[in-house]
Amino acid sequence: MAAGPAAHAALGGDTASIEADRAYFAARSSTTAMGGRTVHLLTLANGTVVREFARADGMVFAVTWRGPARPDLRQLLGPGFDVLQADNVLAGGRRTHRPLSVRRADLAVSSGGHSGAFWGLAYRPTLAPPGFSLRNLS
Amino acid sequence: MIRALVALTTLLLLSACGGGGSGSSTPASTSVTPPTTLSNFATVTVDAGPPALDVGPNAYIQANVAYVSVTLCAPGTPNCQTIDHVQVDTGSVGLRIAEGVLSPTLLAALPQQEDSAGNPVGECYSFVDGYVFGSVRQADFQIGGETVSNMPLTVLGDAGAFSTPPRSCSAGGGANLDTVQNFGANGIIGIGVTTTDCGIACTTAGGYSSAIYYDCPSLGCGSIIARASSAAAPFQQLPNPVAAMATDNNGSILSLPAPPPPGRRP
Repeated sequence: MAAGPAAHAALGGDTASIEADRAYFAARSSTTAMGGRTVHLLTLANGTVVREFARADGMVFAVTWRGPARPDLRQLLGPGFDVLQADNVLAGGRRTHRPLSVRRADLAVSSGGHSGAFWGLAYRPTLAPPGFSLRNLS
Repeated sequence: MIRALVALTTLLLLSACGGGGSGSSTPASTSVTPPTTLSNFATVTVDAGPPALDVGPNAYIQANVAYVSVTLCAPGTPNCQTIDHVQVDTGSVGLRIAEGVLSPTLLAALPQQEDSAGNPVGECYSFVDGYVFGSVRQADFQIGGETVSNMPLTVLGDAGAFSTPPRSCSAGGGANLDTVQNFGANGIIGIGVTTTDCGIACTTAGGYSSAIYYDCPSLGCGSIIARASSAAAPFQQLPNPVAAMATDNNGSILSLPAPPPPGRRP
C-alpha cells in the first residue's frame, strides 16, 4: 500500500527503502547486478524512469530520474530534499532561475531539462563504493 | 549593467507558413519591420521585465527573456485586458498568467473549469527550477491577429481553494513561482512541441506529467483527476495556444534580428 514518504528514504536507505519507493510510485521494477553494485530500475506509469544504485550491502548511494515529470523528490531523496530546497533559493527566498543543484561534500544533485522532459541525479559521494565514478550513473 | 539590457525587438511569427526570413535584415536600430504579407505575428520584446520585478528587498532586473503581450477577454464579451511581459517559452505548453496582473473585473468574469464532480479544476505545472499552481479558467485569447475562444489557462496563485499548492505539486522540488517577482514575468505562453500540456498521462485519474490536474472543492485541492487531451474545443487540458488556433496552427517561428557588428551594442 502506498504510504507517506518512508522513514528510510531511498537515498541513503536500505533495500527495504527501495521496495517502499516501488510501492509509493506504483512502479514496475527490475534489478540488474553490475560489478559489485545493483541497479534497481523503477518505471512509473507516466514513463518516468528512476534508477537506484545500491552497494553490495543494499545501501542506496545514488538515484537518477528521467521523464516527463520530476518524481516525488521528498520520497526519493529523504532528508536530502530539504538540502535541495535550501541550496536552491537566493537570499530573501528569490528563485535562482537555474536548474536545481546541490554541491556539498556529502550530497551532489544535478538536474535539467524542461517541462515535459526532466532529468536529474542525486549522489552521496561518502556512501559510494570504492572506485565508483559518476560516469557509472547511466 | 543596465546598458546591457537595451530592448531588442523582434517577431514571434505564429505559423510555419514561411516568409519570416524577410524580417531578418535589420538596421542597427533594434526594430524589425514585419513582413507586410503576414498578419499572424506578434512582436517579441527583450527588456528588463515587468516593473514588479524591480521592487522590494528582492528587486532585480530580467535579462535574456523574450516577452510578448496577449489579450484575454471574458468569453463572448468585450471585457478584455492586454497583458504585457508574458514570457515566450518553447519548452513548456499552455498559457499561464499570474493572478495579480489580472484586473479584478476580468478575473471575476473568467469562468472556472469544472470537473465531473462540479468542483473547480486546479493545475500544477513544473518548470526546471520550480512549480506553479492555480485555477484553470477559460478566456477568449488573442495574439497576433489570431483568436482562440474559451481557451483554458491557469491563473497562478489564485485565491481560496488554490491558495496552497498540494503536497504532490511541491514534491518535485524547487521554488513556488506563483508571483510575478518569483516567476520573472506576468505570465508564460508555452508553445512547445506538444498540442496539450499533459497528453495521455493525465487522461487517467491519478495520472500526471509536467502537469497535474486536481479536483478543488472549497476546502482545497486534493484528488488528481483525469482530463481529456484535446487541442480543439471543448478543451480540458491546457492546449498549446498555437495548436488551438483555427488557422496557422501548425507551428511557430521565433525570428530574431541579426546580431550587431562585433564590438557594437545592439
